[in-house]
Amino acid sequence: MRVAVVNNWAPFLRGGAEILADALITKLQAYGHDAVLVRLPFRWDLPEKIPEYILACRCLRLHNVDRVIALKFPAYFIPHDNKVLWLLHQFRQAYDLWGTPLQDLPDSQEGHRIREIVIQSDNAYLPECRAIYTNSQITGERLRKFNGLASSVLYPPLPDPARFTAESYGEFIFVPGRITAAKRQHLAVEAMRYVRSGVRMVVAGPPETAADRTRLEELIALHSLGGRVEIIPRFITDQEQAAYYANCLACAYLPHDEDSYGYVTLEAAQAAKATLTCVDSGGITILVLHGRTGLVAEPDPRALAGAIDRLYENRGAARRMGEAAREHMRTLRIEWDHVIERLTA
Amino acid sequence: MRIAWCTPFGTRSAIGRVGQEVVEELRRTVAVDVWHPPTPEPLETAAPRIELTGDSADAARLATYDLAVYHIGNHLGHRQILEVARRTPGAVVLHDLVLQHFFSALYLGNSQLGDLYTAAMGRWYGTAGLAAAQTAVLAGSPDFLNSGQVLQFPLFEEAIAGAFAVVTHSAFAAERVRKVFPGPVWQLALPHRPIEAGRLPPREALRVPAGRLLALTFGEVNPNKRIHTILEALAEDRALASRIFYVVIGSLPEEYGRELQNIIKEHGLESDVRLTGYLPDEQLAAYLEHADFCISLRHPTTETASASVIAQLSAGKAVVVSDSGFYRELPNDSVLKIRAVPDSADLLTALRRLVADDTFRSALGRRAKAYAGATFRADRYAAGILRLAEEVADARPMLEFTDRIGKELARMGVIPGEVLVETAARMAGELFEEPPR
Repeated sequence: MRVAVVNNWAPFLRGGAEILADALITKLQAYGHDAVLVRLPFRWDLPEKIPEYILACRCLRLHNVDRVIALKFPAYFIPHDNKVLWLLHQFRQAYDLWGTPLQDLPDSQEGHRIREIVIQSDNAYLPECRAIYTNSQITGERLRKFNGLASSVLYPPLPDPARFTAESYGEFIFVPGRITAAKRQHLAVEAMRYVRSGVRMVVAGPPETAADRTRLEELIALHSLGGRVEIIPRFITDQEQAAYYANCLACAYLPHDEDSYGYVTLEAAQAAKATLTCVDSGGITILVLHGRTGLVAEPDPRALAGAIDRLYENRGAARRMGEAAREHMRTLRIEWDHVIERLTA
Repeated sequence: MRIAWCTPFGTRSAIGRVGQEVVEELRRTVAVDVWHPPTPEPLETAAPRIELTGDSADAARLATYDLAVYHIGNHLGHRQILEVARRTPGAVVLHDLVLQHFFSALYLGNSQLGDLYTAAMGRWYGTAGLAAAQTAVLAGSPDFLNSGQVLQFPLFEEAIAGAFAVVTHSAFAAERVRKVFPGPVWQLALPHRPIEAGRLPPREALRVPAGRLLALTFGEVNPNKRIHTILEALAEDRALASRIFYVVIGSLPEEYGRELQNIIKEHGLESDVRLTGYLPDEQLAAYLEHADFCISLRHPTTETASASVIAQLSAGKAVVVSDSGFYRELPNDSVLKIRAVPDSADLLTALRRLVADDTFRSALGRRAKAYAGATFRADRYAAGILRLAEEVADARPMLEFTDRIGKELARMGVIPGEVLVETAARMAGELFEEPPR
């Protein structure tokens, strides 16, 4: 089958959607399909241009393609008779983020019209898809609530799961990922003030801004955590990352209200490591079942410190939770066999 | 090149008859097939003739032509032509600028299509259209069909949306169409088709009272032809009426027919006026041949041209017309024009002059005949259609593109006047702009 995976393109920006799109291409090819990635330029920081982007997508045609797999707004508007949607997220500023500080769209008549056009376009065009999958229940529920559209969940697997293995259950908690306020690495660092055990912490990832990095460094200095918390403020290589996962005691991933479980949780589960997360972290709890595949604590440094001590002081339990996480991932069919089968059905 | 000529083609259809000769002219250089709704008495033609069946196969076959020419007039008989025109775009020939009678009958006459009428009125005329539509839906038909207000809601837009080109038969209609239609708009003079008749009977056979001038009106007898105004003028000046014998030829709608009969009776005009109803060609030709002058008033003016007036001019008759629309565009020295909203005083002045001055009457008729002979020609019309076909071939990509954009904007919920409409129009314009030489 000749498959075109359609995604947005903001030059020089790369995030989870881009990683997933690349992985999907690789896997489709591995499963014997001809696959190509089509990226359509999109800027969301100019609200008045958003309707133009929708129209531009509608004016495109993909010929010589048997199946289109569309991932994101507005690229998913591209017309094709045989299109499936694997929805990572809609233009949330018009939906659940409307009326919140993250609304972005102006609260003017023009802003209201842009919102209406976005919603009307979703209502008019998404039913053209022969199937709609979402990356999480939350995304699917939003689609049902705002647009009245039914969907099924198709969890995104890791691009390269074989990289992640367990070698030991060591002395440190691994906190990987882009360092930014929304991911709340500062909560993890502050928790280290209150731990009673000898556990250590490694925070690794590129800071989104200089302020994000400074914030963590100042916390470490202020609370004299230098001996126990290490910050690696850069992209770490795949090898470095795999080694940290392989030898950590467990992982911590504390974002605020994410739609899905996130790559960190999935990588930890693949490496048979438990994940510590917060009750307000959103979709993370799809994979992190409290006391079974990890721990779910209040977003409070003292509560998190208690959970970290519990993992350190019960290594056997931490290991069993990690192994259960890997098993739970399989139960949820977070695997490429399943994804490719559904998207090409 | 292959052209599909989609037209009413019954023997009583003026549109069909006019096209008959154009088809013959076109066939000198291109292949033409005549497509027409089923009719018990089709006109004769040497061109292949195909009946419209109304199913999607028609549209698919029409798409194989280089150009489909759709003739649309203000009558429900054009329904099947409209349906295929919407499925397979081509050039729409607007025989009437006002299609309100057609669309209101089509949409309001079918309970399943009722909402389409309101939607169309809202789409083209905004809140005023919606308000008028709501009243019409409640009443079962619009109450403005025979008033000047009909020009405010003509609904011709409904017939040309998505077309590749529009043909009209007068400048006033072309100007109105250009305001709403982005593609090519052509103005072609409607050709005259002589009425086929053998040897004509003498004037005596028509039983026109001796010593009177024969005044003639013919065509479908609709209220906008103001026959009632003419009768009232005759009633007002009995001396003048006694010098004229006024004959009205054409099918009479029941209600209007009753109204006219009442006026005749009320004013005792029975010996001055004759309403014949529909007459076959031979008899119509005889009346035209022996007519001393013709009266062809319109208010409101709803058609883009008039085959009957063209026939009268071509026959060398002096004609009294309304000073509006197509009729205003006729040369001042070839017809006698009266104010568009006629009153009896205006009309009486014109009639008195025609009755009193034989020389003036004949001179007017001579000039009318010369003008009509040079203007209303099938060969010119056919040449225009061929040039139009070439322009459509050039314009077709742009029109298909803008049509597609328009449909997407509508699906997105974008409304006329919003920035995106302007932006899309500008970008489409730039895309199809002639490159600098």
